[in-house]
Amino acid sequence: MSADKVKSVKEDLVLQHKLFSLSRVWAIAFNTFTQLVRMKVFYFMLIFSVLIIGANFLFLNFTFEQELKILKDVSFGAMTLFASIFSIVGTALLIPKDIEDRTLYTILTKPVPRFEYLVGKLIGIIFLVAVSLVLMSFLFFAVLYFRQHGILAEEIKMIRGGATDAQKEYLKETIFAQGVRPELILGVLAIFLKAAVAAGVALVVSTFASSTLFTIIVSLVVYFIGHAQSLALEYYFPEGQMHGALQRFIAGIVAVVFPNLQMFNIFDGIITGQSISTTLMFRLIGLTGFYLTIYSMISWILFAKKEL
Amino acid sequence: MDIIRKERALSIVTKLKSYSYRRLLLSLIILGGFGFVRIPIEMNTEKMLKEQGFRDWSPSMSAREQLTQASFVGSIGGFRSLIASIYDLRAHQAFRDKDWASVEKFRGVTTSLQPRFAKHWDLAAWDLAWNAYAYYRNKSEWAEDGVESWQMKNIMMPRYLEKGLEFAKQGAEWVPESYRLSMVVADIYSQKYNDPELASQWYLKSSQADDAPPYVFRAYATHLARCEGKEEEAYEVTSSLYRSTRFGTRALTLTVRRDMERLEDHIALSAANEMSLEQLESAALSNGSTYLDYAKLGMHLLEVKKDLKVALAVYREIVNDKKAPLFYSRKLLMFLARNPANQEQAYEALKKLLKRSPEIFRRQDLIEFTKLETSLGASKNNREK
Repeated sequence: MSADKVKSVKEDLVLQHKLFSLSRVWAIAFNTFTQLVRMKVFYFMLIFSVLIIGANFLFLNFTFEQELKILKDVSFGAMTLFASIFSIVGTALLIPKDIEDRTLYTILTKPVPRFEYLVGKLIGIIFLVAVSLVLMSFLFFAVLYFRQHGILAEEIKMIRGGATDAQKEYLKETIFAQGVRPELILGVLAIFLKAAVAAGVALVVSTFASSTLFTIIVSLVVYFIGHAQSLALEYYFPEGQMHGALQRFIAGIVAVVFPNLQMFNIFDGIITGQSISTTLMFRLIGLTGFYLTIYSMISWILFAKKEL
Repeated sequence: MDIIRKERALSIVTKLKSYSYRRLLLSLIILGGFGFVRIPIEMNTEKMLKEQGFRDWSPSMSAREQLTQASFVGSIGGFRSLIASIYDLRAHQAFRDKDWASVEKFRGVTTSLQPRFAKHWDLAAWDLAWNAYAYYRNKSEWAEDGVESWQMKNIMMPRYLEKGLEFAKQGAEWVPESYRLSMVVADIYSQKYNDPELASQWYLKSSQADDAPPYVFRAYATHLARCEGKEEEAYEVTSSLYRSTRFGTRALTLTVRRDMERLEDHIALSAANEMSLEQLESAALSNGSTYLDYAKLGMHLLEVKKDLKVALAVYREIVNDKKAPLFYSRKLLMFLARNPANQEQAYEALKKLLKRSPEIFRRQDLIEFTKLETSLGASKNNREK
């Protein structure tokens, strides 16, 4: 092959190579997901099952509202905990592990932009969180469904002389209002959104962190400050009151730098039977997208020319 | 040569440093810019969350004092509902140990953590106004020390009753859309304070909630019927309830029947005492008169004029009116039985009525019926002798 021909083939290849390719991102994301699954992370499902089945049988002497509430509290609490741990620890492990296994060099020596690598990793971890939440939700909804029917049967049995149709209908309405409702899915979605933002934070930290431990600790600190930042805002800017410049400056810094994770805590209300509007849900989804875009950009800026 | 190398190396380090600083600075600028863009959106979202009832708890200093450090952090970190349930369990344990101070404390925590969950308020009111109250009442009855008994009766019992009422009222403010807590307040006024007027007000409030079962409105009617000076108002409510249930699909409850009879008797007796015979006659004979106008006239003839014969004729008219409640038939037969000549005939009719509609016989009616039966039995025996 002549030198000119080689040159033209090279030019063709350069032209064919897209700046951003979804298929490349997907390949990295899927690989990340597989990599995490191979770490046997799904063993957590055993713990989750024990937790919710335990919550189902331990509190039988309570009223049905308490019983169902405890079941929902334990399940949502466990989902929040597992989703947050997965997103922070999983993301913190990714880049150091790729460096350690030398996979990172294999990937980056190919025509894969670093931005795609980071986005792929983030999508992979978010996908893992989503799959784990779906699995937990299935188990939770199944247990809740059977429990609510069990409670209904018990309550009907307790009525002396047999329940009338109207009584049965009333009991069904009251018990099922505390049982499986479509709003619970929105609660799970809110947990997922919060975990996605936490993964974004961990990704930013991991691009400049010197160790996995450092990434986990810093991300956890940000996670907790993120929950308290709305309180800082309320404290420093109570309605109708103005504070000193320094206080406002500190509150401003906290609000600007740290994500507001408290915003995603809606399942407390959903558990007690409140409904959330679709507008509000779309707002939360939009804000999560906004956070992830910005955090991916920052990660790329910090990671683009990093010596590996 | 070395100097040139050193200078070159230094310049690379400086370049790299300035490069990484530039990137860090750029990241901070993006983060800051993003922060300024998102803060108004987030504040607006928080406002929406508040409006939709998702921000019913704020971790204030008083909340920090109530909770342990771990619980406080957990509550901020998104485990508020779970922490509330844990305190609920602690309250339950304290209830089992009869540690009422702890019950009050833990119930205070659960209600402050999740004020929009009606059951927390309900349980708090129940534990204090009923359980703690009953505990001290029992203790005061069995106490050997008079001072101790007095303290429990006059300090502890009213204290827990008030606390329970306070919880129920606060809950009703937090969850106004639910019938339950207003009903709990009404129950406390009815069963503990024996105040039918306040109880009826709260039952009415409770019955207006969308999820209120029909018995709450009936409880309102019953309590209103017990309020002195509100008989007319109570009659309006009870009679509409009576008519809607009697001619509707739902079964009439015994309480509504009893209240209806008592109120009609009260109204008839008041009119009988306040109005003249002519006035009552013209009211009964006018167009559009009701069976109640006849009942007023009948009552006047019975109680004021003491004319049983004419009164019986009036009561016959009432019984013929299909709108009149069935208890007027019982009344008529009871009046008939006052005349020894009609006793046997009245007894047979009453017996049939009792078999057909036992619900229209009150306790005093059954006593009278038994007396009648006894006297008839005795006279029959006398005749046989």
